Amino acid sequence: MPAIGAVRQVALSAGRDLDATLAFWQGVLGMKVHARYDPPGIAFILAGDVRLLFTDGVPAGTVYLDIAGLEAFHAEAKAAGVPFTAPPTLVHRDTDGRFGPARESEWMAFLKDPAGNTIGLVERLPSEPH
Amino acid sequence: MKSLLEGNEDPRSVLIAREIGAISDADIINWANRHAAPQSYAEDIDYLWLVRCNSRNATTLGRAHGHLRSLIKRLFPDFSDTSMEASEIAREMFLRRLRTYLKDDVDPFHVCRMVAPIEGRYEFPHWLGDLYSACDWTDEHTTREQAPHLRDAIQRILADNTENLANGGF
Repeated sequence: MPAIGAVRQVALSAGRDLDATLAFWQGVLGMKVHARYDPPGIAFILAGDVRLLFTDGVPAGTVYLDIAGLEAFHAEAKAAGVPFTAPPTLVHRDTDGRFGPARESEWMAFLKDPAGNTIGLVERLPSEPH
Repeated sequence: MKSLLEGNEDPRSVLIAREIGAISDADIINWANRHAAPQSYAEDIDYLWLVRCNSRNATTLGRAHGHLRSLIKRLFPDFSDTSMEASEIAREMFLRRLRTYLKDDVDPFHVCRMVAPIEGRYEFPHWLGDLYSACDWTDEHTTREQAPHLRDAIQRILADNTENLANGGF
């Protein structure tokens, strides 16, 4: 069997205007462009150890990114006019600790970049007593 | 998605619907534009802001919730969004949203996003049923076709709530 390792790279759509897409990722999400090659018109942003490749020729995708302070970020970004397609919402209670420390909950909010990629922002928080 | 509100709702109902995630900020603006306001707040500064708001401008849209809160604070200073009265409004709005799920093209996430705010504000009310379990791992991409169990859960909750009402519950 091949020894498959971690995720190295994920391809997202650059959209019609790579500048606008990258400006969104930098301005709204605070993620810097790591490298850009023009031509052919591609760019990389690093999310932890994973490279996000922005290129045309791929459909708009979805990527889930960890964030600390999701609620505060949502409030601030919303006040600045960033349109969220969904506010912070409880998606899963990890009672057994299958995906991280037990008894944490996963909260997600969603927004779209100008290329139409969906960005899910994820934060794990201690669960409220049920 | 068809609006949950008809336009004739009391502002407190609109606020609670927004607090539990049954409606969006754009729905607040839509309500204000269809609402025939009584004299007591027809000229209110916050109400007029809502009426005049351009819902296509994300920056101003993001302020709609705050203006609705200010309107209610002035009109109904004793109203608390966690009171028994508010809980009853929340139940009505919640059930209304569930009914729209069965009739209209509402995404599962629009139902499921109500779970946490309701649990948090109204301390896991029995009228919420077991919606959390049906919503587990439902996110923005979950389709109606992927969630037949959600439809079943919604039908069960609606039936239970009707039964409770018939038995003089709540």
